[in-house]
Amino acid sequence: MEDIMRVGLAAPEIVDRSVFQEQLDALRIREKAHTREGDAIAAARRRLPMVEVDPTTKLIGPQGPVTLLDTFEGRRQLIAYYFMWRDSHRSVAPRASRVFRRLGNQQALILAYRQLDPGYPKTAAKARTAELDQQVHRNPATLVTLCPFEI
Amino acid sequence: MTRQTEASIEKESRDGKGDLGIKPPPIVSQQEWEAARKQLLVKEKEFTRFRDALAAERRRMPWMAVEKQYQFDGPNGKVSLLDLFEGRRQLIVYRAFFEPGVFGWPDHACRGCSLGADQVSHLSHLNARDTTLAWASRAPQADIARLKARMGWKMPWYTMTDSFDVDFGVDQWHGHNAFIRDGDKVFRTYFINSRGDEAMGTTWSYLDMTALGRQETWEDSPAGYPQTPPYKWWNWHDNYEAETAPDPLWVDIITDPAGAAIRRREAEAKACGCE
Repeated sequence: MEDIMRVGLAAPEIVDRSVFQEQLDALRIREKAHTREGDAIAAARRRLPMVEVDPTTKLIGPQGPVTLLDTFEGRRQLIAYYFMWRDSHRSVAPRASRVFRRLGNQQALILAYRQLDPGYPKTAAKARTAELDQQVHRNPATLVTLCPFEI
Repeated sequence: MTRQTEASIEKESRDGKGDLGIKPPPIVSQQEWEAARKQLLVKEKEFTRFRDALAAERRRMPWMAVEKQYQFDGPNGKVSLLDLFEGRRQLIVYRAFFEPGVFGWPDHACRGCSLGADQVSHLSHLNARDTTLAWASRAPQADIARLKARMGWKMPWYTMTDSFDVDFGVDQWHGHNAFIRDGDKVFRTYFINSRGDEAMGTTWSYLDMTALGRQETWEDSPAGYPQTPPYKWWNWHDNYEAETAPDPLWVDIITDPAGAAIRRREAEAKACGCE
């Protein structure tokens, strides 16, 4: 990659300070419009309806099982980021990934192991489903994470 | 929260506004929420494309030759603007207010700049695109070293000694200046300040203000600009130096995700003998 980083390129027009400032000022109008547009979108987000989420949804934290409500840590709001970290190197079902992607749009991270597509590549999917089933049977609070690149 | 606010929230609660203390928007089903979100997503996407277009315009800005020889104090003595590049092709200099007369001195830097310092992301990714971030203030190096240790900040941070701040529009207010170099010649390529600064801190916000951009193939850049496929150059921050060429398995995953998954399953099945 070092090579491509070093490719020579034709420099654009070289200008003096006043011309540079003029161009900067001209583009600044669009920059400001973009900032205002961002503010307007944030205002629209604040006016979105809300959807109620099951606060007892279980997750596993460093100290063991917690509820979604616990993860607020007493604050009023929570942002949950769905971190794509696969739980093992085994195969996962594409349907499950789709489900996860859909769930990723919600505020809650939910167990979706049951959504594994039974029609998915036979032995591998079956083995994976059984494995997840066992895992979740042992501990119903298991959070299964999948990486989108595994689809 | 003040007692007064708590009291007013309680009152609002009694007025049927719920525990939120605000009049909640309509509570809807998952499907309705999804529909409303999708509608807003159209604008969100437009906003993202708008940002991409702006970055493309920045890449078409003319360059301003930097003729003056600026001098800074660094942890190891005097350095030039060229030295701040640390050998890389591009440089972003953020002017932070940390000096006598600024609220918080000498214990702290300006609160806004300090908040900004807290959101500077791991610089290995920016460095991997041949770009260096440096901070610059008027405070002496000893104070800067103390502040960095206290606050856990890692970015290179220099002391301005001349008219750099005046010449680059950051004598009265904070701002990011982007530079590029061609050998020993340095050019100013862009400037972001005011509320533009609040969005800075991510690898992408830094790259988007540079003359070369993210250097990824999807970008609308002038012909001949260095570009590699997205994802391909990404690495763990502790692995850029160890991995001089992209891991072939990673390249396989990003170029053909479905095929890569099948190949991996096959390899695993073969390895465990459970085919």
